[in-house]
Amino acid sequence: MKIVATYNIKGGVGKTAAAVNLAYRAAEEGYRTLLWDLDPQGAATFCFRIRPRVKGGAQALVGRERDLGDLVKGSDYDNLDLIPADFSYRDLDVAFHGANKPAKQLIRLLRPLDEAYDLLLLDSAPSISLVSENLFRAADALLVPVVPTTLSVRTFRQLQEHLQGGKNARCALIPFFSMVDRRRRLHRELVEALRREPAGWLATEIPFAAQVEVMAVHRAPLGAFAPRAAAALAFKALWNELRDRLSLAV
Amino acid sequence: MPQKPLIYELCEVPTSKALEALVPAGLSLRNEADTDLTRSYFDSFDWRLFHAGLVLELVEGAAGRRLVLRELGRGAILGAQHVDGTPRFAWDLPGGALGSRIRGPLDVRALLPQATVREMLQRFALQDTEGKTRLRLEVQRPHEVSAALRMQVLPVRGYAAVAKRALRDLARWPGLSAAREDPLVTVLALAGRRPGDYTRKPGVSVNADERADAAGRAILLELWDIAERNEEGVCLDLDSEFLHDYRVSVRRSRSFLSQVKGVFPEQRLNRFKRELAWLQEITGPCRDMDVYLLAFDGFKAALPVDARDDLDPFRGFLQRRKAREHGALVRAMASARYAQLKRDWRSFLAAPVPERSSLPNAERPVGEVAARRIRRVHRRVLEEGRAIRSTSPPDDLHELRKTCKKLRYLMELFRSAFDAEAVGRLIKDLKRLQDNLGAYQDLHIQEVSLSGFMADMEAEDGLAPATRAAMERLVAIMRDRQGQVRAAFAERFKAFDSEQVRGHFAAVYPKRAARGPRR
Repeated sequence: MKIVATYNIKGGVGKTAAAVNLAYRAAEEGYRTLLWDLDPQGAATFCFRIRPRVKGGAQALVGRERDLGDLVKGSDYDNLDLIPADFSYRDLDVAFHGANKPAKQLIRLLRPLDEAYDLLLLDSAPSISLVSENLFRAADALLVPVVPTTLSVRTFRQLQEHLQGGKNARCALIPFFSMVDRRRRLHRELVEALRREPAGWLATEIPFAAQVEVMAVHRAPLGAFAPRAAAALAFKALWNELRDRLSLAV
Repeated sequence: MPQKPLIYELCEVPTSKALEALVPAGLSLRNEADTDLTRSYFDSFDWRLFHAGLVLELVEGAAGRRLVLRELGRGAILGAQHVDGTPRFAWDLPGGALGSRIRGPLDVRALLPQATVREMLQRFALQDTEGKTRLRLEVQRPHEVSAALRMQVLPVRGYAAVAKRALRDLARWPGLSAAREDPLVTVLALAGRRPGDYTRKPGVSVNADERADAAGRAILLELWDIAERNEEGVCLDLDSEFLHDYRVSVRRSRSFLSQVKGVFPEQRLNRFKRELAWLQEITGPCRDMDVYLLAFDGFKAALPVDARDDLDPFRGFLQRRKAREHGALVRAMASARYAQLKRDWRSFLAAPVPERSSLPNAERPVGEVAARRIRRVHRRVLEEGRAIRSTSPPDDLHELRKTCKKLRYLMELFRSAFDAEAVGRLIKDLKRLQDNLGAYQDLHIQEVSLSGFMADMEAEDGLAPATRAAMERLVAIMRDRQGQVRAAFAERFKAFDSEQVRGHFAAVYPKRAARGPRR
């Protein structure tokens, strides 16, 4: 099982849209896909019409009272399962802190699922915390949506520096441009400037599109209700690139 | 997930009232649009998925084509995905839900449509207030009048309670019963077929007391049936195993004819022996190319990563040559000579045995004739094996390999005349030795042929230096591996030549074999 976390220190950059649509696309190609919504806001869970509730909450999970596999819910799509969010995930940090080997809790929790899925997408809350440290250790890749604005780029730099300094991070950093508005000069210029850096940017850009916001109205991934929309096609292309980067067997 | 069956047969189309009764409080029933579709059942020619307890369906309708893999019998869905075309091999699918499950059982065999039904599909979803589906029901109404009406229950992971309740309530429905057999079995039966109706292993049962000539004809006839059943797949080149099975059948027949003497009149057999040898000859070059193509990924993997792509022109060469050899084979199989052979061989085998025969073994019990021959060939294997030293030339091992093959075929062909289980164990012992000899021989042949291929490639389109280097590297690797395999021979042979295995042989094939009435 390959583990990919959509992650950014900053919020509102398109993490959930990426997680939901990439998971949909991977499943559509036949990969056994699991999406774990770690964000207490539960936006990804909402998009799949699943109730954001985990019995016993974060504490039961960390306290080994519940097996992660028991929390899995089948989505309405082939090959795509989800572990819903729970509002108690806001305290996941605290729960991890109290456990033995706090930074390896996620690895421990995910181990039993290794054979059951080809791909696990973790949609995490924006922050840099013990949960993020867990992500860095558990994930094969951090998929980082970067909006081409000065502030967003600044947090990306912070992440790069943090990971370079970290001892235990084994994950690859895979950034891509998100919510790009080609009509804005700043967006165009920043994209162009950043692409010159050897940061491993994916070639696909996700455009700023109303369709992505409509996802929350339809409560479905783009591919399910607007497969020909520009954003849907962009996520499809993004998945193709990501799949090759992860070297998932085709 | 409850382990109850998920496929049911119905007497009539369920009313919406009956369906509504399945819906627990808080959920609602959504009737999705009815669709007209075609459901095709796919499996390999030799039913590998079926034997692995799997059923693969290609469902085609207005919404596209969807492949569904489910458990045989109970019907639990194991994987599903939309496809553009029709995948022919397991490797045409990604290594996901479907691909990873069928890759093992299917191996190198092609997926072929085995049966097709047209049906009207009604889909129902039990949804909660969020609009999330917690259970699906499908009513399949085949257009074929005689086919049964079916309902498939499709539980959704994480919502076991809804499925459990629905299955409990369904059990009380009048006119509904768990399907007695898998729909695949039913659909095939309509066409007068059954799954698993082809197996590459001859299954003819011979009685130890039966006359050797009668048993011989039955065995040879079945071998010929197997060969003929593979003909179409050979000519269409559906996958490599049609030709392989065809050749094994021919080789088994030849082995029988050369090993079991004094059963059929020699002068009549001579022509057939010649013609069967011809079949072996015309099918050989095509099979050789198949073997190299099947081994190609392994060749690549044996090379260092940066040299792997250099080998690709070799694949192209093999594919071109394969196409050429296959064309020649198809022409040979369309020839008058082949048609004549088919007619004559079948009529020879189907003819009744003469009441009295002057041939020494024709009327003797087959158990006795076979046991004597098997003992003799077994002795030859031991003699040849014992004579092999670490300095012996590869030809000696090749000879031993051929003798082992003869022994194996005899044991398999006459298995039912002896203690079949004990024979099975002996075959396993023999197989361990054969695997070693086979690996050695393959490596040796490949090493020699690769050099020949390099010369041919050079002559045809020229050989890029990088490709030459990769192939030379491969030759060196094969030589190296040969050494390792050769070193393991002594031990493998010693195990086969052990007192224990020899004792088992003597017990299964005793000198005074089960005696039938001697006439």
